[in-house]
Amino acid sequence: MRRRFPSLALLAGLVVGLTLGLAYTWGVNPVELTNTYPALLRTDHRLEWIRLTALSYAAGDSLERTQTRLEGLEEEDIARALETLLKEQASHGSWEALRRLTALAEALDVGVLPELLELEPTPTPSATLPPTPTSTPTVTPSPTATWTPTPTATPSATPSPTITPSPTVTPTETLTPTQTMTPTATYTPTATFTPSPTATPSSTPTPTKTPTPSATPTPSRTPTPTPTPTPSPTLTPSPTPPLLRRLEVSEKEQLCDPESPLHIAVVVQDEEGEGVPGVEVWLTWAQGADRAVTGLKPDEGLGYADFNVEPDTAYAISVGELGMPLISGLQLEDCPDEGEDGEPIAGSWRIVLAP
Amino acid sequence: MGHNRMRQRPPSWFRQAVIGVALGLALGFAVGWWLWPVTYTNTSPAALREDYRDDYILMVAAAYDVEGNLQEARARLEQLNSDEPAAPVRGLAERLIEGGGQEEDITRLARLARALGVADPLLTPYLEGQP
Repeated sequence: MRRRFPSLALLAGLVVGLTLGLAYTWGVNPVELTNTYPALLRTDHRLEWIRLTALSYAAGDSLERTQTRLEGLEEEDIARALETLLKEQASHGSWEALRRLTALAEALDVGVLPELLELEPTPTPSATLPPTPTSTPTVTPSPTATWTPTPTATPSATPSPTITPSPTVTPTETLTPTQTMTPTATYTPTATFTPSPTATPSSTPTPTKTPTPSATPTPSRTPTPTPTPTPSPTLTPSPTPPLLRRLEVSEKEQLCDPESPLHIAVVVQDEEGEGVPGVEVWLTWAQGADRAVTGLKPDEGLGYADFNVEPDTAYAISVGELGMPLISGLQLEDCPDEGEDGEPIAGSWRIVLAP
Repeated sequence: MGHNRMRQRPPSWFRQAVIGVALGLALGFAVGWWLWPVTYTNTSPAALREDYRDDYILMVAAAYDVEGNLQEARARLEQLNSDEPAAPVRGLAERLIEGGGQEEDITRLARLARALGVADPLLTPYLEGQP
C-alpha cells in the first residue's frame, strides 16, 4: 500500500502537468502566428497570392521570381487562379497581359485548360508587339544544281579553302531557320549564287571547274554571319511597348464649349491615326495625380481618355510606365470668344498623342 | 528534535506528485511547441513572414500597374492590417532605396504610393524616370 501510493501521485502529477503544459502551449501561448508563409493562407488569400504573382509576371517580373513565389503551393490552386485570370484578361481585352499569362501557364505546366491557352492574342492594330517568328522554311537554296561558274562571279563564288567538299551536306537541313532567327532578306541566296542571265560566261568553263556536287559552295555556310541580333528565345517584349516610347504631342486643340465641364481630353493614336485603347495616361499636377486608361469611353473613340480639371492649375501629361511628361505646364486658357454674359470662358484642351 | 525534523519533511507522495507535475509540464511543452505544435492553415496576409509580406506589397504594386485598379490595390493593402494602406508601400519603397533594391520595384511602389496620395520627395526621382 505504501509503495502504490507514491506511484499514483507521480502519475496524477504527470497527467496534471501534461494537461497544464498542453493548455499553455496550444491555448495560451501557441506558436507565433506572425511568421507564416503563402501555403498557409486561407484559400481566398492563397488564390489571391497566386493571382498577384501572375499579374506581377504580366507586369514584367521574371519567371524565376514568379516560380519562387509559387513554391509550396498546390498546382491545382495555381491552375485554378491562372484560369480565372486568363478568362478575365481575355474578356477585358488586355492582350499583352493575356499573352504573358499564357506564356506563364505554359511555362509552369500546371494543367491549365488547353482551350484557355489557345486564347492567343492577335496582333493589335497598334503593332506594338514584335512580330512573332514564323519558321517559314522558304530559304531553300536549290540553285546549286544549276549554278555554273562564271568568270565574273569567281571572286565571291570561289569557295574559301575552309569549305571542304562534302556531298553529304544537304542545304535544306542546315538552312532551316530556328525559332530564334527572324527570317530576313539576308537569308535569300545572294546574287553571286543565282545564275543570272547577264553573267554569261565569256569563256566556257574549263572541265576542271565543272561543278560537282561536292564543289558547290554550300550556302549553309555563307548565311551564318548574316543574322542580326535576334530576340531572346522567349521572345519577351519590353515591358513598355515601343509605341508609347515614340508618342509625342501631335495636336493641341482648345475646346470652347460652355456647356461641357472643364476637362483635358487625351487621344492616343498609332501610326495610322487609329485610336489605341488600353493606354495608361497620367495627369499630374503639383498637389496630386490622376490616371485614366484610353478606350473606356468607346463613343469618343478607342484612344480617348479625359480628366476633369480646375482652372489656374498647371498640369502635365505622361503615358504608360514612362515618368517623363509629354507635355507640361498645361493650363486652361480663356477662349477667344466671350460667353453670352460677356464674361470670358475657359476652354478645355484636347491633346492628341501620336508617334 | 529528530522526530520533529522528520515530521516537517513533506510526505513522499507529495514529492512524487511534484515530480510528476514537473515531468508532465516538460512533456507538455515539448509536445505543444516542438513535436506537435499548433498549425495555422487559415491565415491572412497580415500574418506573413516579413519577406513574404514585402513580396505581397511588391505584387500589389505590380498588379496595380497591370490592372490600374486603385480601389483593388487599396483593398489588398488593407489585408496587411496597417493603419494606413499607403504606409507599407512607402515603407518598403524607402527600405529598398536604402538597401539598393531593384529600380523597377521601387518605381512601381512609387507609382502606387503616388496614386494613394503619398508625396514623398524620396520617391519623386523614380516617378520622373531619373532615380
